[in-house]
Amino acid sequence: MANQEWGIARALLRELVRTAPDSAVTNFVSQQVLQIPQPAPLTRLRMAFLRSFTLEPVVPLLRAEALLYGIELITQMGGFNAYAPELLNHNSQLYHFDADVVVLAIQTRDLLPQLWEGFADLTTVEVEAAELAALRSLSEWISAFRQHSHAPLVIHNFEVPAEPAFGVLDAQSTDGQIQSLQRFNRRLAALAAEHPSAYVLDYDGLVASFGRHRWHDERKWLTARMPVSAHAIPLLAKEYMRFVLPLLGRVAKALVVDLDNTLWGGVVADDGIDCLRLDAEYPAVAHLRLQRAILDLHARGVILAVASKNNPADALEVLETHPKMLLRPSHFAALRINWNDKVQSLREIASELNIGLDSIAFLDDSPVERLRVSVELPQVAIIELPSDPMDYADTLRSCPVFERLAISSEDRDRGRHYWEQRRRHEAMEATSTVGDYYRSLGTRLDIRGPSAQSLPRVAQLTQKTNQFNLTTRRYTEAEIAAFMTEASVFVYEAHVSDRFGDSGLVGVAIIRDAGSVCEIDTLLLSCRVIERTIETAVLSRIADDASDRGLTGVRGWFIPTTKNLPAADFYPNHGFTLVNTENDKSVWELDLRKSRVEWPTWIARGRLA
Amino acid sequence: MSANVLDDRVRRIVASSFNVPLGEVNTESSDDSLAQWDSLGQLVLILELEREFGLELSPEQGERLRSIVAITDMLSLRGL
Repeated sequence: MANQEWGIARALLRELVRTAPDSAVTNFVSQQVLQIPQPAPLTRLRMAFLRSFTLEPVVPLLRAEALLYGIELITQMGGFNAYAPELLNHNSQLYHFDADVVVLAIQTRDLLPQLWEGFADLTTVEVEAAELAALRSLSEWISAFRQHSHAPLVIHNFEVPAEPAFGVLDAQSTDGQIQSLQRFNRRLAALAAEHPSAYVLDYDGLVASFGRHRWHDERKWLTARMPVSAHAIPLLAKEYMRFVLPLLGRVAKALVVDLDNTLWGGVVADDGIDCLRLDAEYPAVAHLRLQRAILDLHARGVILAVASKNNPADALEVLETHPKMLLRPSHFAALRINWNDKVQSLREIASELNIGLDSIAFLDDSPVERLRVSVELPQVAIIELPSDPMDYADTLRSCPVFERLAISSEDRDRGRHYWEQRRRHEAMEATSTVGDYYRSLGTRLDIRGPSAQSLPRVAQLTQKTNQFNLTTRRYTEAEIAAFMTEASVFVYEAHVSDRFGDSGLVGVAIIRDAGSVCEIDTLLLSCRVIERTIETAVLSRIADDASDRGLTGVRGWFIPTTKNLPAADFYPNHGFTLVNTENDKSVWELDLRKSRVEWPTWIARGRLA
Repeated sequence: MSANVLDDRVRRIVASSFNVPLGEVNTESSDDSLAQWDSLGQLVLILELEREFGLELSPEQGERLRSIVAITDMLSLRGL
């Protein structure tokens, strides 16, 4: 019940903050949120601001936004223009505050006064000297901060003036005022990249997107040190949230989308595929743009899924064949196209993708569906779409739950891996026997020794694999490299591909010869490829190699953990006999003079890239 | 807009700008009667009035808004 109240309250308060972001409303929201029983305790975040201008009016808005995500902000404002001593002095109030995140908000006119006003008086050499001096200061401050704090540091970049000193002439040279400041911002980005957990907030871009003239209130700057106009303040609060959420890991891993009137205009069951609104003309272009925004999230590593109330055949026909569709079935890791309640569909998708409901965001044009999900599943991030579809894409793009502060190649490939997994499941459902299923996968397995390039991945697999892992021994790269220099130790890598794609290096075995038997120190498989008899093939190879070396047995251990149940019956299932148990650890042996492990006929041996 | 409704909106904005309970703000309130009426609150108050009523106030105009009466008079003069 408390969950539901929180869901309704949050939906209403979010709408209030979106439509009327003034401090009366936000104070009200903050008080209300704190009074409602929460589904989970609030996360406290200590946020310090180092600044050269008045930021206090941003705080109530930021606090209300944060509360809607279950985050209670505790803020500290540094003194005006006191950022340098605060950062350099290890005894400053900044370091006593022990912030979880620190914002460094300096204006161009404060850090680079010559470049803001009086640019016309400077030579190119003087401009460069001013930039380098400012950059050196920033570098010193960041380094000092890193010595005293591990907190992430979010640095505002530097805005360019609305009216450069030389007017239109400014744009005719690469040494103009605007380009000089833009170059400075590029140098700042490079400087931040050199330091762990230092990030750039694109203040210049934020000001520009709102309009430089509208953003500024020069009179309030001169009288109250507040350069930001009343109407722009909510934007700054929202921009901070785009850092706060990823820094706390409050991000959506998956986006679940509706189809009718969301991905396309119209209802396919009523209008038919030929009458859907989806092309490059107004107003149908709104849906095409939304699809482009969704594709961009996919490239950022967000997993996509569909929850739609529809006839599966109708909807799939559009996804597969509509010439204007940008999103295709291959982009989606899970599909729930049926007449079930969306709450149930979302639960099923979470379980199929093996992620929590709190990692899911929900995109649906219907306010009724959104409210229902927000009430029943308050953990799900609801994307509150405006009424005009033309605004859908921008709303999605600015949604803070999709922000990432770093992106790995693994992130970029994630969507593809999930899609391949879905195709494998579908193949299993379509074939009648398990053997047929395995054969239908067309699996190819390459077992080989590690190379210098693959060592990090081998070590990472020993450190991260929990489910199919017989001994759960964790090794560093250096330890693996040391094994490879020992004559009695063999390290195997398993590379797997099938007709749906290349899964890459997904298994590791570490073998040690001891007398007349070989011992399996480590045998693990990534959960991407378990339940496909890859483990049988790897064991077969280990046993055959041991026979070739003249050994008479294979010995292995199963060390149970809370997570490796999938590996518990591995040895008995392959004809090993139990020879000993110590505590909960069991020792298993196979007599190579009497038996061997058969290589599964449906797995091809082969060399993979 | 009726005077009462306007009074209520202004009282609500003043209360939140200076972080005082709504009950402590009445039509007679001013910087003399409210201890919390400080310069930072004054800035927040001006920003809120600008946003709520779509105005732009010069520093001189903003500085004169030191009481509920001054605020409602200013708003009435602007036809609100």
